[in-house]
Amino acid sequence: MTENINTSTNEDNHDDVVDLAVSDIPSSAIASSSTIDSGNIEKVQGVIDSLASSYIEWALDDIKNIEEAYILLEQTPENYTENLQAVFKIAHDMKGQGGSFGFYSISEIGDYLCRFINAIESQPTANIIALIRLHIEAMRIILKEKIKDSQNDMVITVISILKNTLQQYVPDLINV
Amino acid sequence: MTTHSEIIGNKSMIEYNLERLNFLIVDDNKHMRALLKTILYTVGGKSVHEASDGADALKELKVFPADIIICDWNMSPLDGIEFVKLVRTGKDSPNPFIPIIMLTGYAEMCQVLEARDAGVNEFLAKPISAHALHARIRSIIERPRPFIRTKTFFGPDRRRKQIDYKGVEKRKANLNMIPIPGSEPKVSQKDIDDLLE
Repeated sequence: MTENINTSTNEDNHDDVVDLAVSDIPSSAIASSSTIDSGNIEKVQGVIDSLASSYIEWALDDIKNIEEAYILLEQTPENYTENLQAVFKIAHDMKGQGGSFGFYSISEIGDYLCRFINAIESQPTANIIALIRLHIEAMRIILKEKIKDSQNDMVITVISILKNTLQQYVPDLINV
Repeated sequence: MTTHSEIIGNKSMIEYNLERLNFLIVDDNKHMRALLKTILYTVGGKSVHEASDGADALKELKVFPADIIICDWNMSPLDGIEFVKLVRTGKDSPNPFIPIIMLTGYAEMCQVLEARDAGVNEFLAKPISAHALHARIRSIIERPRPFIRTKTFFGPDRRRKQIDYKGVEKRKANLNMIPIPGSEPKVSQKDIDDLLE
């Protein structure tokens, strides 16, 4: 699977480079008839799209879990570090999943929520906690209504409101 | 040993059969695992194992000779970065040379650099698509990176280009300039690819 080689790379101008090797996938494993090509990729994307209904079910479970984490944050703001981390973890998962299943607005709102939480450095005020709630509600509505289209008027409005509100807390949001 | 560069020659459109490759998906989110598994099966993969975190994956690697690992960053108790470091430099690592694709929602340059310096071969920014995963697998097959061992690093060469650079090592010179996470704009998949060119 590996072999030592002596060719030059751009890292080997330095004294501390002591060994070079190259890793290969076994050639016998892939050098046969076709299964992966650009045409098949379109087919794969179709299969992913067909998973959208399952995704909504999974994502609504995530909404339930993030709400539970949010309620803990609301009830015990003194434990904000731990509780924010729990909200962040689920928001981060939703951010990664949403666009992967075609729900790009969920990824965008999840990203905003992650960036907002990252910017919180002290015990959150009631306004900040309410803003977190707004993100969760926005994602819930999009999922309940099964709105996949990022150009949907309601989605555009919700994202615009979130973005404008967040800019005072996350100044670089407009650039991302 | 025949390299893939030799196998693929100058063909512009290469087609591969992935059914004899072993894939290991490492992600603590079962939905993402399901998505990745669906993509891999649909493009011809037959042997796809799963692990829910880095520690689970290390156990799996003892019994499953994976050819490609697809690994998420954000996992506990052992996250993606720690897992990659253990695969690359752990004393009992089953295969330090195994190609690793890191899935990341942390698309900021400082975090991409951290993952690269841990020893990942390829990055796949979330949200993922079949096309993007396909491109990363092709890149591993067609453009394998030579491995480098230094006092502070073991892993795939952090750039593919051959540059006859004689100056101060840029990574050392720029060490104090790396921004903290959350303080810089996100980077695109193209930015990530350009970093590795």
